[in-house]
Amino acid sequence: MGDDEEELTEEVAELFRIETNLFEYETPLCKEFKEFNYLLKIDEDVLTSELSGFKTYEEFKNTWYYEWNDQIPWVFDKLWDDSVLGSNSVMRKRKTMIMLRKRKRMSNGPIIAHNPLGHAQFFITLHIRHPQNVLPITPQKRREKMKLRDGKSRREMKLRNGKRFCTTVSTGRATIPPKIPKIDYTNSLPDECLTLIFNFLTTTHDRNNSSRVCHRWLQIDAQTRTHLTLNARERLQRFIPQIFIRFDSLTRLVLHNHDYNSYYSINDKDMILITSMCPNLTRLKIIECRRITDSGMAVFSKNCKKLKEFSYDHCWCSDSGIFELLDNSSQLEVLSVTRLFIYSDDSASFCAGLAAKTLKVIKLRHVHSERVFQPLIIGAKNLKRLKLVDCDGNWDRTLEMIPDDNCLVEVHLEGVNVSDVGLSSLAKCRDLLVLRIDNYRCTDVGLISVAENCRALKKLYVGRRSEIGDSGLIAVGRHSVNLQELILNGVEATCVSLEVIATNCQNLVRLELCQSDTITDVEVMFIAEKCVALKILCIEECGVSNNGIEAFALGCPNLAEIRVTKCKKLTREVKDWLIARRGSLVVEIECT
Amino acid sequence: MSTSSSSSKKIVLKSADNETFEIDEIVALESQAIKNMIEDECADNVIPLGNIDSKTLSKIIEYCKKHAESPKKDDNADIDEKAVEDLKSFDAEFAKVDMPLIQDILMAANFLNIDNLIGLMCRTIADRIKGKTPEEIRKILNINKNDLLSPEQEAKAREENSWAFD
Repeated sequence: MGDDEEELTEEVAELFRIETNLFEYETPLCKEFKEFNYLLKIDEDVLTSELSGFKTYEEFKNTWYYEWNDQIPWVFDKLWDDSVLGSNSVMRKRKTMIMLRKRKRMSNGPIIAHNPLGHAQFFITLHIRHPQNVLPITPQKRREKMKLRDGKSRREMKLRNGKRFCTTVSTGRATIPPKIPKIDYTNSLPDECLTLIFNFLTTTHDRNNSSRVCHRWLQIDAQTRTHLTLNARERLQRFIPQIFIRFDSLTRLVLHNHDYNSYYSINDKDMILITSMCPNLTRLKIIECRRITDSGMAVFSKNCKKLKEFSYDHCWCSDSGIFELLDNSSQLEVLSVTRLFIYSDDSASFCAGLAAKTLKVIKLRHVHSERVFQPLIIGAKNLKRLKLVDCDGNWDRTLEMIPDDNCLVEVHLEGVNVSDVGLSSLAKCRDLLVLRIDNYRCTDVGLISVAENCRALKKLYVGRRSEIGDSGLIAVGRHSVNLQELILNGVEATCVSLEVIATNCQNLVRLELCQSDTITDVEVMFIAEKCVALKILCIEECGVSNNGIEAFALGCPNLAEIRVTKCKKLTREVKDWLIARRGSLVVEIECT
Repeated sequence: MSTSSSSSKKIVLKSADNETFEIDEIVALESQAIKNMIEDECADNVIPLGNIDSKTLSKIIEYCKKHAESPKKDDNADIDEKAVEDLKSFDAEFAKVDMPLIQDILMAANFLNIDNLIGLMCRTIADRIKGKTPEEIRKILNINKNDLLSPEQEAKAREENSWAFD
C-alpha cells in the first residue's frame, strides 16, 4: 500500500510538475520595468536625450505661453485615466525607442508592456530621479498646466509627503475639447486694465450685469462707477447706506422719482444722508423728488462742496430753496431748472448768491418768475450760455441789465416773454456766437440791432413764433459775415434776403429752410448758384419743385448732403436724377 | 516701413522664446516703456522682453508699425480723414483675434506701456461682454470659479442694482 501510494504520488507529481521557478517569473511589465531601471543606471538622460519632441519642464516653460494660442484644444482634466494613457503617440514613441535599445543589447524578441498604469508609475520614478523635471508649482504657474504640443500636458501631482510635483504625462484625448476651460483671462490683468474695460461699459444694464460676475468685478465696478441714476422712491430709503457704501466714488448722481403720480419720494433726511456719503459729487440732478423742501436744500447743499452742475426738474421746493443751494455752492458752473412752479412769498432776500462767481451756464425751462434768477444772471460775470425756454415773467428787464462786459457766447430765447427791447439789449454781447430766437414779440428791429453789433455770430436760428422777415435777414447778411449755420423755421424769407446772405456769408456751411411758402424754386436756384461753401442743405415743407432741386446737379460744389422732405411739388424721379449726376452726394428726398 | 529709410536707427527686441525682431526706432517709440529706456540710454543692443512670446510680440510690432506710420494728430491741423478712417479699420481688423491672444496682447501692451493698444484691447473685451448676462460673461472670460459671489451676495448686489437705471 505504502509503495503504491508513493508511486502514485510521484506519478501525480510528475503530471502536475511546473518546470518554471515561480518566484523568478516575470510578467512582461516587470521585465520592462527592470529594463528601464537598468537603462537609467547607465545613463540618466537615456530616455530624454534622443527623443525629438520631448522637452524638460525648463524647455516647456518658455514655449507654453504661445503654444496655448495654437488652436490646440483644451486638455481633459481627469488625472491618471487608464484608458487614456496607453494610446498616445509620444508614449508609443518612447516605448519604441526603448525596444530598439533593447534589441541592440539583447537579441531577444520584442517585449511588450500592456499595463498603462505601469507606465504611469514608471514616469513618477523617472521624474523623481530627474530633479530638473520636478518643480514646485507656484499659483502663477498653475495656469501653465495647459496643453502643449503633441497633446502632452503638464500635470500636478501630490506625492505622499504632501509636496506637489509637476510632471509631464501624455493623454490620448488631446483632440477632445474640454468641458471647462482653465484660464481666467482677466486673472492676470492688472486692475487698471479692468477699470478701463469697465469704463467702456457705458450702460447701467451692462454695469449691473458685470458687477455680478465675481468678487473682483463687483469691487472694481463699485470703484469705477462714477455715474449713478437711482429711482428715488420712498422705498429707496432702506438701501441708501448699502448702496452708497458700495459706490463710494460717485461724482454724478441722478435721483429720479420714477413713480410720476406719487408724492412719496425720498425726503430731506435721505438727501442729507446721500450727500454726506458722496463727498466728491460734482453733478447732481433731482427729478420729481417732491418731498425735498427748501430747508432740506439749504442743508444738503452744504455737503456738496464740489458741486459743479445742479439740475432741478419738477420738485416741490420753491425758488427760495434754489437760492439756498446757489448761495452754498461756491463752485457751481451749470444750473438747470425745469418746471419750477412754486414760488415763495419772501422775495426780498434774493441776491446773486455765492454761485454767481463761477456760473457759466444757466438753463431755464418752464420757469415762471425771473425773481431769483435776475440777480444771478446780472451778477454772473463768467456767464457764457443763457437758455430761456418757455418761461413766463418779465425777462426784458433782466436782459437789459446784463452788464456790458459780459462774455455771453450763446443765448436762446424760445417762447420767452421777451420783446425787441430785450433782444436789442443783446447788442452789447460782442462775443455772441449762437443765437436762437423764437418769441412772439421779436421783430426785425431787434434782429437788426443784434446783427449790426454782434459781428462774430456764427449760428442763427429763427423760429416760427417770431415776426422776423426779409429786412432782419438782410441785416444779418450784411453784417454777420462769419455766419456758418442758418436755420429758418417758418420765416417768410425771399430771394431778396437770401441773395444778400449768399453773397456776403461765404462761410455758410449749413442751411435749413422749413415751413415757408416763400421758399420756391427761384430761392433754391439762388442758393445753388451763390452758396459756394454750403455742405448741408435741408428743405422741409417749402414750395420747391423738381426744377429747383435739379439746380444742385451743378450748384454748391462743396455740398455733401441734401435733405428735402414734405415738399408737395416734388416727384420721385428727381432723387434718382440727382444721384445719377452727383454720386458722392448724400441725397434724401421724401415725396408725399 | 515706407517712411523709414534703411539708415534710420534700429532697435532689436528679443522675445521670451529667443526670437529677435529688428524694428525702426520710430516704431519702438510707440511704446512708452521702450521710449524711456532709449532716453535713459539703456537700450544699446538688444532689449530682452522675457515675458512676451514671439507671436504676441509680432502682433504688437504690426500694430506699432501701422500707428507709427500714420500721421499724428498734433502734427498738422488738417489730418487726412482717410488716414484716420484707415487706422480705424486697421484697429477693427486687428482686434479680431481670440480671447487668449487679446489677453496676451493686453498684458504685453500694459508692460510696454502702449496706451492706444491698451485702450483698443480693453474696448474689444468690453464690446464682447456688452449686453451679456453674468453667466455669459463668465463663460467668455473663463472667470475663476473660486471667486464667484455667494447666492446671498449675488441677491444683495442684484437688489442694489435694481435701483439703478439709465
